[in-house]
Amino acid sequence: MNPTENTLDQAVEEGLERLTQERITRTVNQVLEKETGARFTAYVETCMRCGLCADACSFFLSNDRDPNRMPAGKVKQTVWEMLEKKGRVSKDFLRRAVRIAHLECNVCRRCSMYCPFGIDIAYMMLLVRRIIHKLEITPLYIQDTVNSHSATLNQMWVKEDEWIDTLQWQEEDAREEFEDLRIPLDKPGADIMYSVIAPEPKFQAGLIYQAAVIMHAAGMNWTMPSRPGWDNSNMAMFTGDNEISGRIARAFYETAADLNVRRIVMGECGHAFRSVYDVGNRWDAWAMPPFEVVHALEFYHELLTQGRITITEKYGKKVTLHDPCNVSRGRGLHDMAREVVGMTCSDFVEMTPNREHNYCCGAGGGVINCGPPYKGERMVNNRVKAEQLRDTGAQVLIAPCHNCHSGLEDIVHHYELNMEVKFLGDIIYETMEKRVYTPGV
Amino acid sequence: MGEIRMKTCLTAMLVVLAFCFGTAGAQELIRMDTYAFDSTRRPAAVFDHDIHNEAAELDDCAVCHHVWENGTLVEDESSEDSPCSECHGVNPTQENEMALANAFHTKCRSCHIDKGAGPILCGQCHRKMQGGE
Amino acid sequence: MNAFIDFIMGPMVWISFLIFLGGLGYKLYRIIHEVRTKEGYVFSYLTWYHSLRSIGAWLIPFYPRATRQQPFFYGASYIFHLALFVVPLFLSAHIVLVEEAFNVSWPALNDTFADLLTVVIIASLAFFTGRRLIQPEVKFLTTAQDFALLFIVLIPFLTGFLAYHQVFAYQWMMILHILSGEFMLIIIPFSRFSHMITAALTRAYTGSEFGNVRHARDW
Repeated sequence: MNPTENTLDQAVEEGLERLTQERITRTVNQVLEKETGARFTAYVETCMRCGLCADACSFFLSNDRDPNRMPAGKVKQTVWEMLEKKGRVSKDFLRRAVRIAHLECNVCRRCSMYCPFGIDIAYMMLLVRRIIHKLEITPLYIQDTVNSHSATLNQMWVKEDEWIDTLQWQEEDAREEFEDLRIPLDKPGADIMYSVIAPEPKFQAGLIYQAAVIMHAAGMNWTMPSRPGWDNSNMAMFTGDNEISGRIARAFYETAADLNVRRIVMGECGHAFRSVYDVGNRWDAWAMPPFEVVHALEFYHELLTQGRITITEKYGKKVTLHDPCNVSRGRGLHDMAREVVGMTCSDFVEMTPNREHNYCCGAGGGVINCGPPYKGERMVNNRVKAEQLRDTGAQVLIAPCHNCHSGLEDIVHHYELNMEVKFLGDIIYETMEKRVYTPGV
Repeated sequence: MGEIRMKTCLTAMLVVLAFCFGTAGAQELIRMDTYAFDSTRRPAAVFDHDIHNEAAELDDCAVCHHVWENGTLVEDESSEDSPCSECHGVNPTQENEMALANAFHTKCRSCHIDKGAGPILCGQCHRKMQGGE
Repeated sequence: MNAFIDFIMGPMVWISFLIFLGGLGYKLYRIIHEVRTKEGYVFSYLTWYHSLRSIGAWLIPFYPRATRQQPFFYGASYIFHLALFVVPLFLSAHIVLVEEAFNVSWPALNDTFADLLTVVIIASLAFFTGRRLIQPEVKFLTTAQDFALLFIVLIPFLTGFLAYHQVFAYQWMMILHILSGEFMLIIIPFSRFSHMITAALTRAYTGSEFGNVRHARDW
């Protein structure tokens, strides 16, 4: 069953059929009354309906300024109406709400910077997703990733032996470059626990290879966990399944605690960073993460500035940099990213707007995870991003985030932009000197 | 768009303004003497002493032309021979905190409120200057 | 009639200010109380520094990027909000009344300048109304309530303007001016006008989340 304008995927449609009006009303009211407080009330009551958030939203801009897709417009079509009708909303309304909250919002928080009052509209969209989750009408593909998280503690049904096997396979391959390279599993007391998202062992194992080479060359005392808890991704965070989301983050921190590491370094992923740095910890009652969590971008910066990694020859092609929401707006790493690019590439061109004001890749916030059924509409919704990319005239697009990476690949193909999408790690791996760092040399 | 609407609105206002400034008054109004003030914000208050007192049935000068000494009102003494500004400075002073304009406002308005008659709103006394004035 | 006018210029002013300030105070208390009992996490992230940093950045005209993208709207909005406070508080006619009641006064605006600012306020309101009627994304969000709010602000300024120029029905214009001004004050805590305090709170929290947790700017 393919989605059309009036239907969504199987999981949503079958879910809607199961619902009774009584359950809809009860669930909506339960979430809006019991799971919110003054913060939510203030957001609803402070909004002056000025429409200034519109310019922030890439969905609005990509669809010829369609008011249905502006941030406050999305709130009007979901939250305001739920409040006005005291939860007595129809199934058609809910179907529209699923589309708005899951497919037409990246929860990128750009609109908070365009609202003069700083109203957090992403928070309200996540509340809608929470209601959708509780009504069991979450889109099929993203729900499947949550099911996987729930059963395996990783996002992609990776089995424990497959995980270990993949790491050993990458270690073996990398030994052709460095004969004594190891991917140390479960090494207690290591300085660093390196963690990745499940798509890496599943179909991008080369990234683990590259990371191992960088770690080895930099002479780091590092380890990777063999047991569940290795995956730092968290799709439950985006479906409003806060309980599973909290479980994932908790297992992750506990793994690091059991290994007694000093800090956690993670691969180039944005949403995973948001989970373990900002969101997952909160459900587990940690105001801030219990470990120092270092995004790859920050880690590369450290290695390069400390001279643990040296660049033989800078990357020569014309590159541009996409600021992933969750590490720029989400962690302020955008300037550091530019420094890393400056240290590794010789021809850099900015895309505008940038830094905190970047446009989301259009895939983030779980949108791409709703899967192939919605790829067509996602491409339409990403037009403004495509135009932004095209305007740079760059040959290579650096995107230090997995979600962005996949989304931008789709955009590049769909809009025939003729760009290569790369991780920062790809660039570093290509340009670094392949020798092991020894202090003082 | 918004600008067009604003222009229409401004034009409407200008028309209203032109109307109100363009109306010429026919009869001359008797107003208070404001020589004590260096400059005035509003047109002098419209006040015809005799008509006022007749309408208000006022015979006792001291009701308005009072005499205060050491913070108390002196009974049976009046001050119609000296200007108000002799005691009430344009600005409040140590000796007399009641400045001249405030004295007028307080005196007139409180009485009009008490008696339930006479003007008490700004523009009812400080009437706009007519064309001929 | 004098007794009625005296009432609306005297006790009713007290009542209005009491409801206005008391209402806002109570609202603020309720919000803080509810946050304390239900969303204590807010205080884990809220800092004075990041709150004031964000509020400050948004108070500087055309400092935030978003405001530079809408120069006409923000220009009108900045002047409108400023005039909304400055005109009533520093109008000579208002100060005279305060002086009469309490024998305290402060410097007043030049009357012609205040008059000009009033025209600016009225023009801004016309502009805001026009936006609501014409600009698609604003029209989409607009309900009758939004026009009502604009109207509630318009009346005291429009009647004040007409009364100052003594155009017609002076006494009734003044009565309408006083009553509508008091109505506006009274309605503030019970309407979205309360954004005059809640906006600072939402901005403070977002500013703190951005600055304190995410090490990023929100302007």
